Amino acid sequence: MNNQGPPNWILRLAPWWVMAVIVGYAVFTVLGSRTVQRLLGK
Amino acid sequence: MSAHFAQTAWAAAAVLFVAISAWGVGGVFQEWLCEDGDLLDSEAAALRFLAGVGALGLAGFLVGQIYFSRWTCAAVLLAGALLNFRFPWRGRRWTTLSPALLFAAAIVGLLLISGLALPVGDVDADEISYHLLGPPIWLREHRIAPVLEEALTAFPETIEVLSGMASVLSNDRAPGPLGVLIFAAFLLQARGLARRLGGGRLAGDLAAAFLAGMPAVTSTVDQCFVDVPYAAFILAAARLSLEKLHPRRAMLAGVFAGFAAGTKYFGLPAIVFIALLIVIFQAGKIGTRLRHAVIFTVLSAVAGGAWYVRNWIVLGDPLYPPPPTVWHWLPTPTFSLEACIALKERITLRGMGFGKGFADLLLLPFRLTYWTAFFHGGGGMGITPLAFGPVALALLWKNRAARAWAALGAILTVFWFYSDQEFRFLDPAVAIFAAFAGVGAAALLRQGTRLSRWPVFVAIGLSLVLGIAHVLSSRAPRLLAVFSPARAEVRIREGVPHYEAFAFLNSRPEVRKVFVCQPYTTVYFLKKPYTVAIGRLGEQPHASIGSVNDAVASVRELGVTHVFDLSFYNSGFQWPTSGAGRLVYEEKDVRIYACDAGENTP
Repeated sequence: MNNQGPPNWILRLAPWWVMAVIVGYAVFTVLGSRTVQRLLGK
Repeated sequence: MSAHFAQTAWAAAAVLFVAISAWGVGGVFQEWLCEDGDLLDSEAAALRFLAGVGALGLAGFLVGQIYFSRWTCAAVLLAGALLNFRFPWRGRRWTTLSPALLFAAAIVGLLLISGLALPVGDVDADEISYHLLGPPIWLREHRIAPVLEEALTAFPETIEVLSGMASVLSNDRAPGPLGVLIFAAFLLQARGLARRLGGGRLAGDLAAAFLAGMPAVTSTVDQCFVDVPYAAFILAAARLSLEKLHPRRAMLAGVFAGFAAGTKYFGLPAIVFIALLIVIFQAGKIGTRLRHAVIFTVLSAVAGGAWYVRNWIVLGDPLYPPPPTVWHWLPTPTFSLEACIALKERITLRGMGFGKGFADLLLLPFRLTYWTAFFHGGGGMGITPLAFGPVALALLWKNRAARAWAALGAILTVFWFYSDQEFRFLDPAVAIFAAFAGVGAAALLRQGTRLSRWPVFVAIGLSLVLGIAHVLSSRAPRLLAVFSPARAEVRIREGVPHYEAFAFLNSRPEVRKVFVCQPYTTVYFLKKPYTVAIGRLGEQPHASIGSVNDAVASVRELGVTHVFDLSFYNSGFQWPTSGAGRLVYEEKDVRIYACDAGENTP
């Protein structure tokens, strides 16, 4: 990293990206759970 | 009860002895490691230890070509330990423990304890089928040699030699904790890499914690697998190669790369990748870069070539079991072409992961994070690489060293994607992901507003909680077995297939050599010499014996005193009841025959 700090646009976008990754994890964890898989008939 | 704890303490002492010896041998490399002053003290310490691990494993292998015994193992280790007097540690700055490092230390501590549990499992467990198979046989035969009945024991086995030295001096509990010590060095490497990328102290500590919290990495470190040691050697070679390079450094980097090739075949392509990166990313004239790449490659051949030369001389192929294309050039009598093709198909099928198309490659970061079950991942790597890695990449894109590391991570990942998508084979790249994730997370925590920090905390918390929960849940039986002899007994009886039958054979002095009919028998638990007609991968150790029926007529020729016949998942017994020998033991799936006249019946 340079001494001037990271560009602002990255810092503005990054939390949203991190949040999207967390939501994705939650969705896939729920979808992959045995209960949901059983409900889906798999 | 006291025997249980005595064995545990004895194994821990043997591991400590090996670690002290490796530290001493690593001291030989200390001056070259520290001369440029660009490594953290903790990182230089990790590399010193790893250099010692590789060199000691190689020394043990070379000595073991002449004679392998408890005395030679003790002598090699003692010589290494004495080097500590010649090469005292020069580092001064010891780091204070941050919460992230405490987390990593807690994981290491738990794994050190769980590693002390005795190995159990069936033949599908790699540590049972081949990683741990060699040392007791080497000790019986007084020579380190591949076991023809199990072709995978011809893999490069630097780590197995070292852990074998610890186990022949103590017992089978020793290899586990030794792997965890190497894992601890691996964490320090990731920490140093994140610092090198410009992330600061928080980034380094987070990188170590992220890596320690990745179930796909921790799932094998206390179970005698070699993926983490291989990854640590690759990371060390790259760390030295991607800095300002000079001939001595190129040599040292080459030695680490050679140790990687002496640990796992995957080290061979990694040597080529790092040599390419030296040419592409180093500054200076092209002639100088090429010279450094050549020095690096030659030294890696010197440090890692012994295994391949041994295989070529003893088995006829430097790579064994050979890929079918190599077999056409160098056919070997003990592993048929059909067996080579079957093994390749088996690896291809198991390594399919989620597919090999270009779209699959693009989706890989998401699938590695969310759909870990498709990569034999043991729980995946948490969400920190996907959450913070791209942030770090965006922040560091103008940094030449960061680009080189990103390129190495990408090359290793693409190679892994198109070769064998077994998650643990990706460990070197995963360490790079963790370092980048540490840099990204630290930048967001430092620069973000209070509101924007909470998703960062959530992502870090989720990954670390997942990591420690995985260690605790998956290791609970091992941890309990270390502290409770009763639990250990239950675990062994439940985890060792055909425990009573093996106990029958192991306890009888008249059992001198056993013929094993079913190739999927867990022969690791058979503590007597044994042979087979056909191994589980199609190995044929005896040219004239291609089936159990052939063996019936060759009992005397094989020197067999007993026969172990297993009905594997109700596949039926193979040894004819009218054949040589009489039944001396029988349970639901096992029959044991004595072939010598006058054998005792139970």
